[in-house]
Amino acid sequence: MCLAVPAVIVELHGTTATISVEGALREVDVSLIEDPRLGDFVLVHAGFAIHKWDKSEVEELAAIRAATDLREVLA
Amino acid sequence: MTTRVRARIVGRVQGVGFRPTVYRYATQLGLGGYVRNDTQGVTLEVEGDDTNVGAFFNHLTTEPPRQAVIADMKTEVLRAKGYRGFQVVASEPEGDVAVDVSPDLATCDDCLQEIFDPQNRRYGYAFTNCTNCGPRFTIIRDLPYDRDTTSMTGFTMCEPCAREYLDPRDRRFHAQPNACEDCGPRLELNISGGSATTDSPLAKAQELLRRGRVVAIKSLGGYHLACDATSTECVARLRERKQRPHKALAVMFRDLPTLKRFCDVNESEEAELLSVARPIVIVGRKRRGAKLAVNLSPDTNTIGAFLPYTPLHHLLLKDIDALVMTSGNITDDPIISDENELGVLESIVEASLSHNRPIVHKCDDSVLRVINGQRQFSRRARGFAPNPIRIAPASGAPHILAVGGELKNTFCLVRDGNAFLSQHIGDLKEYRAYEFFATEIAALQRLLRIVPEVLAYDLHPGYLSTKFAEKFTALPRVGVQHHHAHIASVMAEHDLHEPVIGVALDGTGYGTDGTIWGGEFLVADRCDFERVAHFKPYPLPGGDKAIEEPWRMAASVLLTEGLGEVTPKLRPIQQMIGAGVNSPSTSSAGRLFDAVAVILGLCDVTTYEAQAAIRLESIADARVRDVYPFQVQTREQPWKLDFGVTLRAIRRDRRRAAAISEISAKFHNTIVAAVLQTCRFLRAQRGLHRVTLSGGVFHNELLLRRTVEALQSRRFEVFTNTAVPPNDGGLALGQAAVAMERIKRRCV
Amino acid sequence: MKTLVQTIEELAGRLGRDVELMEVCGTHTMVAFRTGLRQLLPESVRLRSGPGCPVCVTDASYIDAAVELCRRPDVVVATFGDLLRVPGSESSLDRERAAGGSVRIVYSPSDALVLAKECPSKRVVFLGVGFETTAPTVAWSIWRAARDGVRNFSVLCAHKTMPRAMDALLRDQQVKIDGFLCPGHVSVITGAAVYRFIGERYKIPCVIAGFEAWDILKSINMLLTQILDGRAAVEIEYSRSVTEHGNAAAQRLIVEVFEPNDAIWRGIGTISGSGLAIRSKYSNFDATHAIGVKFGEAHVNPLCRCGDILRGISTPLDCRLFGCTCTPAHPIGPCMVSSEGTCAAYYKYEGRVAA
Repeated sequence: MCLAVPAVIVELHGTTATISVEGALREVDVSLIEDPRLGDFVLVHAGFAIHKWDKSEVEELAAIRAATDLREVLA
Repeated sequence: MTTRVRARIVGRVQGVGFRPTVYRYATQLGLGGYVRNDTQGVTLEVEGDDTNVGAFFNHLTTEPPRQAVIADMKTEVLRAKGYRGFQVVASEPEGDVAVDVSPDLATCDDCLQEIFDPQNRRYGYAFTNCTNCGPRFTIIRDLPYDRDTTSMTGFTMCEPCAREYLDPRDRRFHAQPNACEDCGPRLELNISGGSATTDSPLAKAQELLRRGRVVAIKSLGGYHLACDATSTECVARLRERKQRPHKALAVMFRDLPTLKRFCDVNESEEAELLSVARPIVIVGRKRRGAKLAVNLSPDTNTIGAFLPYTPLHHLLLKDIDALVMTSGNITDDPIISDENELGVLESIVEASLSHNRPIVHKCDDSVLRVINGQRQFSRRARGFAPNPIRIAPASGAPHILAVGGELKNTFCLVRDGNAFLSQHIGDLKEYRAYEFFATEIAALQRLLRIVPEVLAYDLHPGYLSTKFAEKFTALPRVGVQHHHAHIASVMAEHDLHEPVIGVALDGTGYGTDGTIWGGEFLVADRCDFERVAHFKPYPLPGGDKAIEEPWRMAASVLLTEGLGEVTPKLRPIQQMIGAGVNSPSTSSAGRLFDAVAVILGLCDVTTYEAQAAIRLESIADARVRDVYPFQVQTREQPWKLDFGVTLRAIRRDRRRAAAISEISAKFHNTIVAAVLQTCRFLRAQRGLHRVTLSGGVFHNELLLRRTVEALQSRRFEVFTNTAVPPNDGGLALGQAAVAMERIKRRCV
Repeated sequence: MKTLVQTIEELAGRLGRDVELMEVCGTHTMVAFRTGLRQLLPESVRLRSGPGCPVCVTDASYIDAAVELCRRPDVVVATFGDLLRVPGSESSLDRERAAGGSVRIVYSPSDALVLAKECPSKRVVFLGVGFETTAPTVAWSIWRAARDGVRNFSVLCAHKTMPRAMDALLRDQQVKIDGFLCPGHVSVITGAAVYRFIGERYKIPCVIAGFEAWDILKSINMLLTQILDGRAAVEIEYSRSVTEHGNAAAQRLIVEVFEPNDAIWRGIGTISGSGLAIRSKYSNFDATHAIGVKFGEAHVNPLCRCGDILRGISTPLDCRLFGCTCTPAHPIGPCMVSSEGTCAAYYKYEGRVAA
């Protein structure tokens, strides 16, 4: 149920927005977050954006993803 | 020096390739003489140089034929007669029969190779056999074992088969069921609502099975119902049609490697699976292993697995991994063994694969498990019956018929200290089972040349077997208490004569005080017993109904202990108990297990026997070693094992939402502790250090293991049933042993 | 990564006793199994799965009620996909759909509302199952339905909230917990403050964890450190998304539409104040009022151990049915069906993970 992939807002339509998840487009409701802007990264759940990430948080996630090479750990 | 020796050999020496082996050994050593079958066994004479004669007997005794069992050999040295050459001579049918009837033998590797060898004459032939394997008991009408005394009498051998039969060097020398495609039994496929066909019936049957149909297969001892065991949908359909929602279904796997893909098997279990008896062995099922239907055994994670035992099965399973092979019958009726009886299976099967070799003795598959490297039988039949169990030295004692019990009946015929236990008969309450019981007693009496002079029976006045025995008004009759018989069966198996502590835990058995016993401690020998302790009795509301509806027993136990609230459902139970109406008293251990299963929410009504207790064992967490409190009241005789405080503790655990796996394990451990303590008291009081454990409750493997472990760790010698079932299928052996002892001591 | 695991080993060594950590989030369960990180933990540090999967803790009687609804000719049941195969007493929504019952899978409750607007002749019932992450989205759809007068839309509400359940687990004598990994996205909505009572009342540390293996390992580190230091605070590891007070807009919606009630958690029983019920002012959109729903007694297979597994006191390997009678293709209990269920995780990954 929980999508942890950052989605980026590519279009705004008032209370809804079009987001892109690694290229795939979807409509979500943005009523639950404050001041959504184009280019914002959001956390999506059940068709709603529930949290807005700022740029540093997105970078942190990318860094964690890159660092996670379990093969290295298990070796 | 030339010498002649005559030998008379008794034991399992017919139908096992004895005569060809004798012929080979004798001719290899250049001896003259003959060998023949007679009603005593095998008689032979060898004549020649005395070193060679000595070598002959040496060879015969150290390397007898694979399936032979030499029980005794008497030799006489005689003067040389001048034999020229060695001959196999025709059988002698007169005299007292002393020969053991061989049980049916699973297809040997040599025959197996032949049926899959396209160059071989017997390629694809479903009735291939030889002197080392094939049908025996199930086709034998009379002794001595000859083609005409079996159901092969209707088939005349073709020339090639006849040549094999007469050639002493051939593996099929005097192989009575010898046959081939041209002269032997044939398969026929009947499609329901269609016609019969003898054109590729096996291939068509395989196709039907692959497509998920249910097919009746005529096997060795009767019909099986078969369907694809890898398909949950298929199995669900079979279950629905057979009205068998939960009871485990047996599965036949193509071969051992295939079986091991689906099951966890240890060395002893492997040995049993590959043995010539080929029983169904209850083994652990692999979780998440290869694909197998999920509804084969919904209450446990074990599987009753077996391997093909006739060429027909090997051929059927060639391209199928696993087939459900369950008894072809309706509910608990005896297995169907003839085409005429197929009508009752009409609504269940879509086709039936039959053949024209009659089955003389219905015989179910045997079922056993291996515990601590030893067998525990749930059912003793094909591959084991009618092997005798020795219970006394050969003495010239009178012939005995012990009629057994009512549920899972077997009966026992005794001659010269050999107890021949019949195959599993069934629940005599079903009239077809009772018919089978009566006809099989007559058949085996004739076959074994036993004319009963003494009858042994269970004290329960309502048992149909008891009523049967009562008809023999002219003969002395020995009534044996149910639990005493259980204990005596263990004593007989292990040759025990001195008094033992007998622990008999089962569901129900008639007591000498007219109540229903089931959780019994007896100090017993083979003649008599004393009831020294038992489980505290509770009312059984509704009698037999409480067995099918264990919630009644739970209610009875809770109400008696003052632990239950009287809900509207329970009010009639409370009234029944209060008024003593239809609520006989029972000390049954089995019912106590049922009650606890209900209390833990595992079962309200059962769809098969012992389901509640099986679920209770299934869910127990084996890592838990804690024990609940219990009491052994020794103020009065007999002592009482009181689990009232145990039930209170269980209720407390329920209230604090303890895991039921933990509660079940603790309950098991409590019973073990109570049994141990009672035995210790008895040892202190009576100096007895041998304990026998019997009764159907000991099918509970957790209980059995822990009880044995606990007793052995306190230096008791412990004995259990390993040759006959601990359930009522072993009663007849115990009854026979008691009758024998009472005769010996002249108290009959 | 290596450093994290080494640190955990060091901390565990210094602690010198067994610790039981519990996670109560289905996604945490899945990630832990999928990445095999339980294999990396030392023997003395045990990570148990608790009732973190909202589908798994839904009582069988709810499924039975939903099954009854989809058999009604005038009703369309709209649901998240993961409820489809959960077994009820006799059937499941999936089976009903195959037999012709009206069941529609939706990705969002707003889709269910759209469905209701498009099919005015049918009554659309949305199955409201989920924790605080989902509740605001359902609240929103009820609020919109009220505003737009979509009279044929209603919700069969079985939402639950985590803090009371965690409280119940801590009071359960059978369950041993030395530290909680708190759910990630639930906490995005609720904020970290809701867990403070755990440290205050029970002296148990909490760490709100993110969803990468790295996050979970880091969180375990933080928990062990707290335990060693004798602290019992609520720390946020998932600081990317979780704040002290959470998402105010979402919380406002929840309070507007729902009120707390006593909910039945499968395997645990009734936990007071742990559920969300639709307020009477929105009762027209509460399926139990709007169209009448039958809740009866459910029959579950007595050998099914989902209840004990959800409490963390048993593992799927302790269940007799696991892998033999209960498989993903033929599930007996919800833990095998749900993508976040413990049994499903064991079944899929157990070969690669030391139990």
